[in-house]
Amino acid sequence: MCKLTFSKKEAIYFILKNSKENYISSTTKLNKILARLNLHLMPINIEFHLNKYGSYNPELGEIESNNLWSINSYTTSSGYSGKSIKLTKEDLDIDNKISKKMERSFTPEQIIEIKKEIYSMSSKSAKDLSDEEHKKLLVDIENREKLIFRANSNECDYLDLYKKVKTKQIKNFDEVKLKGLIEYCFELSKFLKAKIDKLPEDEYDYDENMNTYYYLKILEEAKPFIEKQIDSINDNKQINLLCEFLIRRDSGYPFSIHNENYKDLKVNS
Amino acid sequence: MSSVYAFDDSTILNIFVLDIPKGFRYKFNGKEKFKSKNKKRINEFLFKLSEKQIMPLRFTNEQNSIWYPDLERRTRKIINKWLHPYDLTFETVGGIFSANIVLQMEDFFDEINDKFESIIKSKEDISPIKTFFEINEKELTKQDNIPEDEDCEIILTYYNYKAEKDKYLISADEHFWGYKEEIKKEFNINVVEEWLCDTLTVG
Repeated sequence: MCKLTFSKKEAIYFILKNSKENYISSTTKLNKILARLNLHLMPINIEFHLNKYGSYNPELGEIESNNLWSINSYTTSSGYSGKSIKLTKEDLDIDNKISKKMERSFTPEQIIEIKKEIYSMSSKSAKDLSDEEHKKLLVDIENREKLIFRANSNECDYLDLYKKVKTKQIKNFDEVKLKGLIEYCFELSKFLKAKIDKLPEDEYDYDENMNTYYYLKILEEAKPFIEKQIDSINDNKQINLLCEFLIRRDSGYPFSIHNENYKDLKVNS
Repeated sequence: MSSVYAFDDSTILNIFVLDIPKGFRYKFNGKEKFKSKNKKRINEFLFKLSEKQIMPLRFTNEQNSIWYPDLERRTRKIINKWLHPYDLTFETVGGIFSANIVLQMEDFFDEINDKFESIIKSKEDISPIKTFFEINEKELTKQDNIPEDEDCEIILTYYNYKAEKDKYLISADEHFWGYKEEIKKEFNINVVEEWLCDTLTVG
């Protein structure tokens, strides 16, 4: 697993550590907070699936008590049964690992924001979080033509960026990372365009395609930042984060350097 | 009090293992990893040091960043050595693969920073060191005869480093081991060839 990527244990610990009273009242809430960390491109070694509403569902599996947290099962008066999680022990070693990963990826201000967000989310009910989630995480399910237009224009923009860096003299390793990131984004933009071009007109397979839309959204949002960095790199942390999230994290998405068929998925220009 | 053991960055780079992501393995006949042939020996020696609770030393630049030009140069050198049998170089292997190398290296040096004590390289005038090597010039087999400025900075820094007992410098660089007798006599530093480090008795 890549060094910047959080393990499941680290991610849950980080959430509990920054939650109100180090406590999360339900696994549903924990899922929602984990999903929210994706909006910050925080790479976590948990498989996430998108449902048709554009919400993430982490594949957490069964969480059990361990030396760091305890799980308590409960049943409400209305008959709803659930599990709450409470941090029972702080672990300096894990704290250090998490700090290092956060510091390599985020500015101190961003780290504070993420911690505040976790605290705030942990204080809310799962229902409130669900309402928020749909506003924040929703990937617009637009009509086919508009999607094709977005995918085309995204590919054209990344082609321009790629042309800019292709012949650029690389002076140092920070520029190596940026060039690699742009090359990857360009390859991914071609893949996304080809995939969206092939969308069936009469049916709509949400499970198959939501990741495609999500990556399109990430590339569109990352573009202005990446463009600025070409002339002068001033935010190495954000470059690290994008590299980690897009290139190094093994997300299960087919267009991945971890897929042995990666080279066959590349689309010729 | 025990002796002190410093490693030059080329030797530290020789314990790095480059994982080749599955999607790129076709370029290297299915190979999964690249590693240096001396990795095992160096790790064995590092293990001996940790057993005696001796923190190894490394020489770094003052700036608060993993990379500095000399380390980048040494990194390219080792990567090019690995890629050479496949008619590839750091520059020609592809931007995504190169970026992945840099990211893996950054993880590696992050760990190294925890395991090694850093000595900031001296900014003092190295011309006396350079002159010393010019006067005592030897015919080297793999390198230019005179050690580079970065090598002289290491010698000067280590020479100025206060140690109660012996100083050892573990290196694969001929600029050091090629002059081991001279360095011992003039600077009281014991140069140990990287491939022999596991034979050293720690204490």
